[in-house]
Amino acid sequence: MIVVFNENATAKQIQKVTEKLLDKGFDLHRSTGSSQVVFGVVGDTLRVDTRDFEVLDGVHEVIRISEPYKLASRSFKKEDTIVKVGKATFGGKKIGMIAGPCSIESRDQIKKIAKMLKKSGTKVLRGGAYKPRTSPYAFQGMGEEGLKYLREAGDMNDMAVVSEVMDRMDIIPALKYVDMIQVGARNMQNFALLKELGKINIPILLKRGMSATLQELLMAAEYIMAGGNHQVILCERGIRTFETYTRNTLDISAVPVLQQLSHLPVITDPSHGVGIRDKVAPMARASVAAGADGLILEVHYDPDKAFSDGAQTLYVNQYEQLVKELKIIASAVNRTL
Amino acid sequence: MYLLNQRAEQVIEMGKVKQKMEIKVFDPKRERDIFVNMTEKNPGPLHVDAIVRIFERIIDESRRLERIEANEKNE
Repeated sequence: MIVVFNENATAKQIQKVTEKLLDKGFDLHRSTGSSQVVFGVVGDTLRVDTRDFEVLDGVHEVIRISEPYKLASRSFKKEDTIVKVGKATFGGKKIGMIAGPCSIESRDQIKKIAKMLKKSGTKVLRGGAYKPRTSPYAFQGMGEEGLKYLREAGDMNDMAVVSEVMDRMDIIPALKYVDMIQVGARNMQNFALLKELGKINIPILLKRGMSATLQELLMAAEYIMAGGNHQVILCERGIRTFETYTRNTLDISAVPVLQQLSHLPVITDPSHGVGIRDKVAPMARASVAAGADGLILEVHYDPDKAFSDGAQTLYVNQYEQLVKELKIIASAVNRTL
Repeated sequence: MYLLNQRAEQVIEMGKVKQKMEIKVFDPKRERDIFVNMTEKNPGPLHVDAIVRIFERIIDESRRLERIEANEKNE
């Protein structure tokens, strides 16, 4: 951590800051310049709120050098973390594919989709049972009954299953059915939920909040990991920008940046990222080219009749075509699919 | 090198005395006195600012040494 003083900081002000830093057990490297004094602060600065020092008289700026997240950080663990979900892996050479409908609508619907997805080699089935809809009047999901159908559909087709949990009360019931729990974008900073997910022992698919910085996403991952659950997959799903043509702007640069900052696997969600069906495949191809460790896509046999997010959901034949294209791109970036 | 380490040994001794007398490791007045003393006696060609910067590092490292010694004693 670096403390920069104002040009007119008095000896007394500098002395006060020195005392406070020494009291907290830090070592100082002072550097008195011709106009400004700068302190290099050495020690466990992760625990410090830099604002505590910024408000002190005479202080111009406090700059953190080390990241505020530790367990999620690449400097904490050099090698890539590989998260296993059923027969799929995320973070290794092989790219993991997650696909399925936005919502589980009926037993027949999820079974039919699972069977179709199996043909293209998809190993993880998605399906929402608790839906965080923008409107309280929109379809809210089938709840636990939906999870039961999802599990059945997964088992019949040798696929692992993932579904979103919105409330910490739903975690225990969900554990009976799912192989991975998804934290939705709207819940990325639901710290009570994240803490509970840290106590369980199945992978967590953590989606980036639509207005969250990458640092905030990594801090959310840190919450889960601090509880002891280190199986976290990070997911870029589009952020809010000034552009309104697409539903969100898929931040593909998040992939290489997160992979540099963290050892956790990084996947993208092009369906939510753009929100328009015919733009989903190009963004999926770009994600794999950018080095994503996996993709999560919304697929339905009849998107126009889907209960939610139909406009961004791929037809099964579009998905099959996309998988073929992704295999070619994957080999170009030394990956497999 | 020899002189710096000799100084460090005296710093450790001072630290023990300070602890016994319950005086804080950081003594701003004493530090200021050292800087004034050094700059007054500076014959050049090093600028007084340079002397201050060099002694800041020596004092910073001395304080660190005092802290480590005190911590080991307390454990």
